[in-house]
Amino acid sequence: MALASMSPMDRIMAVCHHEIPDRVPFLLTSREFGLRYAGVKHSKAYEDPEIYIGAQLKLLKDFQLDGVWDIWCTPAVDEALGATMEIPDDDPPWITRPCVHGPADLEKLKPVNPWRDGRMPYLLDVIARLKKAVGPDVPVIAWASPPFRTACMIRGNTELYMDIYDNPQFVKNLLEFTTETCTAYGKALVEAGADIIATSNPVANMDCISLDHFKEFAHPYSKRMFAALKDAGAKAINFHTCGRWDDRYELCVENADIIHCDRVDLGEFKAKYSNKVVTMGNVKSVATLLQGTSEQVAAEALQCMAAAPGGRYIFSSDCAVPRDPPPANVRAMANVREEVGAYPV
Amino acid sequence: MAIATMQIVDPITGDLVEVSGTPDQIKALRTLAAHVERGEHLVVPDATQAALDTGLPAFDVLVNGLQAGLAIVGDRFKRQAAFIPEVLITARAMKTGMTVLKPLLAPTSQKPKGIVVLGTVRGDLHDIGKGIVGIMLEGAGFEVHDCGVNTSPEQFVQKILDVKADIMGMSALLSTTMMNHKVTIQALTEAGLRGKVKVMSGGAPVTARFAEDIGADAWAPDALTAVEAAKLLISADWGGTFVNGGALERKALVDTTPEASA
Repeated sequence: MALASMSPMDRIMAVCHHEIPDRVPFLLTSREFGLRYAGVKHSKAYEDPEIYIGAQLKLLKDFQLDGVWDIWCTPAVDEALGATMEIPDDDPPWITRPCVHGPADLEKLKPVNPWRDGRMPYLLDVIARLKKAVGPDVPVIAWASPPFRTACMIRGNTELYMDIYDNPQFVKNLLEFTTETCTAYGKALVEAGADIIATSNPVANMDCISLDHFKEFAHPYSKRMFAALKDAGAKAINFHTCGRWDDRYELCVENADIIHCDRVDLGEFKAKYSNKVVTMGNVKSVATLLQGTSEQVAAEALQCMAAAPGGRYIFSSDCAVPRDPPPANVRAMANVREEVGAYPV
Repeated sequence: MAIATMQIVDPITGDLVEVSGTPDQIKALRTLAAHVERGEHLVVPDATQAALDTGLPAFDVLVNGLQAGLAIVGDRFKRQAAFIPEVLITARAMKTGMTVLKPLLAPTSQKPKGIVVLGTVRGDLHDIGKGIVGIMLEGAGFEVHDCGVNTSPEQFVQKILDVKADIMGMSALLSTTMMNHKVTIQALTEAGLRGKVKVMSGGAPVTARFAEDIGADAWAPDALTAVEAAKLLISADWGGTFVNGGALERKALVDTTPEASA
């Protein structure tokens, strides 16, 4: 393959700006795999920023990726608002206990300060250090929870879903609050050095809520937040559509620059939406990367690469890379990008 | 005496069946099913009592009223016409009706289709998908014991012993924690229970291949197919081969009460 002539940042920005890059950009949401690959337990990422940064830099170098990720999907805003977050020894953290038990609790919630409260300053420090480590040529991608997801986390999924019927005004009041809070954290991510904001909303997909409820309770708040983050300097919004989103992609593409696709036919998706968004994906992260052979990974990666001609495509897996795939499988993806990823593809 | 009829989805067999009774009884059952279907939990207890007041046995009110309402929403859930909020409010409505019926139901009046122990495996705190499976299994006549989230293999085994379960259903939403499905099956084997309990494995990252590889008896891609798989596992027809729920064909269910489309 010809020597790369563009920096990772230029490569990603090229596809975002409807330009053809030197080669297909390659990103992996690699929080847990990166830590395992570096030989450290997940919980260590929350103890020493340099451990996590070291893991990301190792991935960047070994697999020729086009970006590094923050400690993706850490519910730091939710925790700072009062929800209980637990960090298992070697698995991602999760909210174990919500903090909004009814409308009265919403009255007591105070907006959080990303630079002061909870674990947010630590995560911002990770981003600042990552940016310093990779410099301007490599994008730092940082995760921000959308308002509906944070509302679910601090209220409890089951409770919030039933609130939609029992007390829709309370849900909207809660969403106004989480929009403000999630936006504040997102702006801090950008200020700390994040180039691209990644987001995901698995509690608002077609497996969870109706399109009507999505339009009423999820989309408008996300749209407002993402617009504010673009205004604050985010170079792109990368929306991971975890699960099935077919009936609501038309809305998702309104306020995103990149759709990190889960279960879609990349060619069809690109044909339909590439005038509005960059398509990213979608080697199956569990069935293939985790459970398959490197030959199977390579074969599926080649199929994905069929979406590359014409640009507007980022090569990736369909979701976060699991903790435990054989490194040879991830290597197989990198090899395919290396072998066939030069434009013209 | 005048006879009226209505069609419902039999929540236990999944078949479309005709229910007959006096016009008052059929009207009361239709009303009750419609309230459950719409998740109107505040009025379901009165509607349940009203159905009983027409002279219907409690068991008939349960099956042809409460469970029939849940079955309608369950079918919509399968067809992507209802979603988690609708299932949750429907299940809540059904439970409020059960508080009226429970004292009236003789212990033997509704023999469960089977006894299921459910849980999200150790290290995983995702609750809602497993909860939906539990709701659908209950609606289909199974007795469900939900161990909750972060369930250790030992807790699964103990609960199975306590309730004499026929089926163990495991859930996981993480590609890391799904590995504990295998550990849990091993614990079942070590406890000498593997031959007595059917095992279902599910959750977003769990594939049919994974489930089969770890020695589960069945996998299903969604809650209603999980019910179909569970029915198959405890039927005399099941020959011990792996049940791939993704390949199961479900009967097309239809809304059968006039109020259903309200």
